[in-house]
Parts: sequence; C-alpha cells; structure tokens
Amino acid sequence: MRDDIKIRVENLTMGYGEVILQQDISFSVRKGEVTVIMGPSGCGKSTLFRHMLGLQEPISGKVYYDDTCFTDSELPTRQSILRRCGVLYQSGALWSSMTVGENVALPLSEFTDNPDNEIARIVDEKLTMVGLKGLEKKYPAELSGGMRKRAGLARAIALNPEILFFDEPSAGLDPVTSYKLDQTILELKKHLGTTIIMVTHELPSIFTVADQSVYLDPDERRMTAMGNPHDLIRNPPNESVKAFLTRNNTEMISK
Amino acid sequence: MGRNAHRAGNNSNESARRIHRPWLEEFGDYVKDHMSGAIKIATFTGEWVIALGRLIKGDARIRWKDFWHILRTVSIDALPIVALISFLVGVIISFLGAVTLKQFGAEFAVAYLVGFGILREMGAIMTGVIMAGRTGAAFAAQIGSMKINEEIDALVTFGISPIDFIVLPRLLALFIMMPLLTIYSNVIGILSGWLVAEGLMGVPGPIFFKEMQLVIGLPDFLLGIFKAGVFGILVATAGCLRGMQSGSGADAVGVAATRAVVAGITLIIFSNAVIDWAAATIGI
Repeated sequence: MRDDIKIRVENLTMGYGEVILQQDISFSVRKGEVTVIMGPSGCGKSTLFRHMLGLQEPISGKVYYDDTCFTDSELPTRQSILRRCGVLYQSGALWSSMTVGENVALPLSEFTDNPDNEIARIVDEKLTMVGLKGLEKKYPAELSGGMRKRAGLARAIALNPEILFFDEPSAGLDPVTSYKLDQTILELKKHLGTTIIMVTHELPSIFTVADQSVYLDPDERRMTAMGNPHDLIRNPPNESVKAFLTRNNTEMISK
Repeated sequence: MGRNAHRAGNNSNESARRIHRPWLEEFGDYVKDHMSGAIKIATFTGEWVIALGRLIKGDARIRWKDFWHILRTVSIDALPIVALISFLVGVIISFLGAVTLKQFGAEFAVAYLVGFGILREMGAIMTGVIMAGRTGAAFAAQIGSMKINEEIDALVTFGISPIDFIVLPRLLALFIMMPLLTIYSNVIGILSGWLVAEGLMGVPGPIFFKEMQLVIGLPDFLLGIFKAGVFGILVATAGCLRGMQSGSGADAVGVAATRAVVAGITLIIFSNAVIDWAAATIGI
C-alpha cells in the first residue's frame, strides 16, 4: 500500500439481511486529508461509516487500515486499530451515567498510564479546545445538543488519535456553531495532521473542509463519484451528483 | 422516489408470497427464528461468562462507581416493595393453612406450611418476580436507550467491551443482592405467617416456631438462597440481553423492557421447577 494511504475500502457491499444498500464501494483515505462521505438521506453513508469502524459486518468486501485487513481481524487487533481512532457520533453519544469530565477522562484512564492530575489537565485542555471549559461536572442530560456534540469531540480527541471519524457533525446545529465546528476540524487537520473521515450532506461543510469526497447514489446503490467537491461541481460525472451539489431539490425528493 | 417505488414493489410481492406459503415453510421459518433467538441467548451467556473470567483474573474493565450505584438501586431501593409483597404472601399462605388445617384440628401444622412455603419456594420466587418487574425492566430500558444514543457503539469504538462495562456490574449486583433480599423476604414472610396463625387460629408464637424448627432445616433455607442466586443471574441476563437487542424506534425501549420482564418471569418459573425436581431427586 502507498505510504500516504491510511484507510482503503475495497469492493465493499453492505446491506441489511437480503436488502443490498450499496455495492462494490472502493476508495482510499489519504493521510492528513479530510475525506467526506456524502449523499442524500438514506443512501447508506452512515452505514458505510459503521462498516469502516466494524460496528456492522459487510456482506462482502474489505476495509484496510494501513496494511492490516480490519474486516478479517480478530477482536484484539481490531481494538488496537480502533484505539488509534476517535469517533464523534451524531448525537455525541456521551455516556449518560458519567459527567462530561468523566466521559473525556475514561479513555485516558483506561488506555494511558497518566496519573490523575495529568488526566485532569488533559481533560481541561480538551474541553477548553472545544469551548466547554468549566463544565466538567455537568451530566450530558444537562447540556444542549450542540454542547453534547462538542463534549463528544473532546472525548474523541482525548487520546490524540491519528484518525478521526465524524458522523454528521453539523446535523442539528445552527449555521454559526456549525461553521465553528468546521473550523475546529480544519485546525485539527492542520496542527495535528489528523486524518479525518466525515459523513455529511451539509453543502457548506463539504465545500469548506473536504479534500476528497465520495458520493453514494441511493438509486443506483453504488458509489458514482469521487474527488474534490470543487472539481466535482465544475465537472459533474452524472446528474445525481450535480443535483446534490447544486441543491437542485433532488435531495428533498429522495427524502 | 425510484427507491420508494422499488420498495413498495418488494412489499407487495412479499405479502403475496406470504399468503401462499406452504405450512412446512411457515414452520421452518418459525423454528429458524426461535433457534436464532436461542443461539443469541447462548452467545450472550457465553460472553458474560468469559467476561466474568476476565474479572476474576483482574483484566475486566468494570467501572466500580457504576457497580456501587447499581448495587444500591437493586437493594435498598427495593426493600419497601419486597417487604410489602413478602408480608402479603406470608399472610396468604397462613390463611390457606388456616382454612384447610382447621378442619382436621391440626392448626399447629400451619407452621410447616409457612416454613416450607416461604423458605423453599415463595421467598425466592416472589423476590425474583419483583426484581424481574422492577430491575430487569430497568436494565433493559437503560441499555436500550444507551443503544439508541449510540453509547454502546462509543464503547466498542474505544475498544471497551460493553459486556465488561455494562453487563458485568448489573449481573454481579443482582447476583449478590438477590440472596440477601430473599433472606429479608423470608423473615418478613414467616413473621406475617405467624401473625395470622396466632391471630386467627390461636397458635402461640413459641409453639409456632418450635413446630417449624422440628421439620425445617438448614437445607431448606439454603435451597431457597441457591434459587435466589440463580434467579438473580437469570433476571439480569434477560434484562441486559433484551436491552442489547433493543431496536431503534420510539417504542423500542418499551418493547425491550416488556420482553425483559416476560423472559425474566418465565425463566424464574421454569428454572424453579427444574431446581425443585433436582432437589427432590437428590433428596433435599
């Protein structure tokens, strides 16, 4: 595998039971870049995301991290790969029985040998980064949706992961908060060199952060376009991508 | 739109096929569905047994703060309802004895009925049923909503086993607390049985307890406690498994809780019969 390729998805076919959602998806995620998985609602982009993390098993095809085949690996290998990844879920997915501080601290206390005061310092640093300084003692239920998402981001970056996954980060956020989140994503990429995979259908985010994008077509049930979104909008390979990127109301109809 | 049309086509095909299915296919599907359910229960049980092994070796990632919290909710918080039900069960058994034994002039024998009934059967069963309704349902609802909120996925992608983190503390808490709650239930049940015996049939306290000691021994008490431990594991397993299997719709958590209670109570009654049969066979 080429050195600059971090994740490779090969001929992935996924679905539920006998219903095939998407077939034969192949693409590579380059190191230090933001790769966006996009498409209309219901096209299977979140499902693809779950397949890349091993939360669902593919019907056929493989996912590779560096040179290791993730799909064929046993649990310990998968766990060691996943420990290099941070994931921000759609709703934040904070553990509801723990405070925000404990949520961010858990991966640190589980997977590092840091003493408690060092963990507290890192928690403080990560929460400051996402603009939630001083909210360590709050429970997830006491936070707004946007704050939960930011706390989820602080937890995802707690272990300084090489790869970050975002599942619809701007869903449910107002445009300004969403813009700030996009800026945070760009900062993570720029300063820490983090490889980022993001699932979204928000056009402003796509055009702001994506280096590369993958388009899943819900009607053809396969990947019909790949490349930088700015290039795709200039030379759209098919009508569906064009409609999606130009907001030709097609997205609404598919919903 | 194209996709929806495609789906609608699929659906009508499917329902047409369902109407004309031969009975053997119908039966095959039924067995397949139930087999896969049984395999899931076996897999889940296997997973927590392995996790328990890890815990004993000291490798499990259990969060003790959660464990203490759960221990509290399945013990102190359950005391009032266990007391109430046990009191009433003691009264019912004693009444039953009063009605039947009076006819033979054998009122004193109500002590045997209460002793046997409470220690061997009703103490553990009623506590188990209460815990299935109270705690099993709560476990399923908690885990179901954690699943919907992607909290379980977040554990998995951090490389933390949800079995260690979520199932083990609940299982251990109920396994430890069920026998203790059953002892508490036994005491209240026997005392209420005595109250009825003394009040209704004039069996004095000293005679009631002396008669009871004549026929009831330590094995009867221990059998009840053994059952309680088994019921604790069954209720926790049913609750956690149904929670883990919860779907993602709005009513899924409710469905999971209902299924946990049904499974918990069924397992209690069934295993109680098996244990009674085994105990009779080996002469306890």
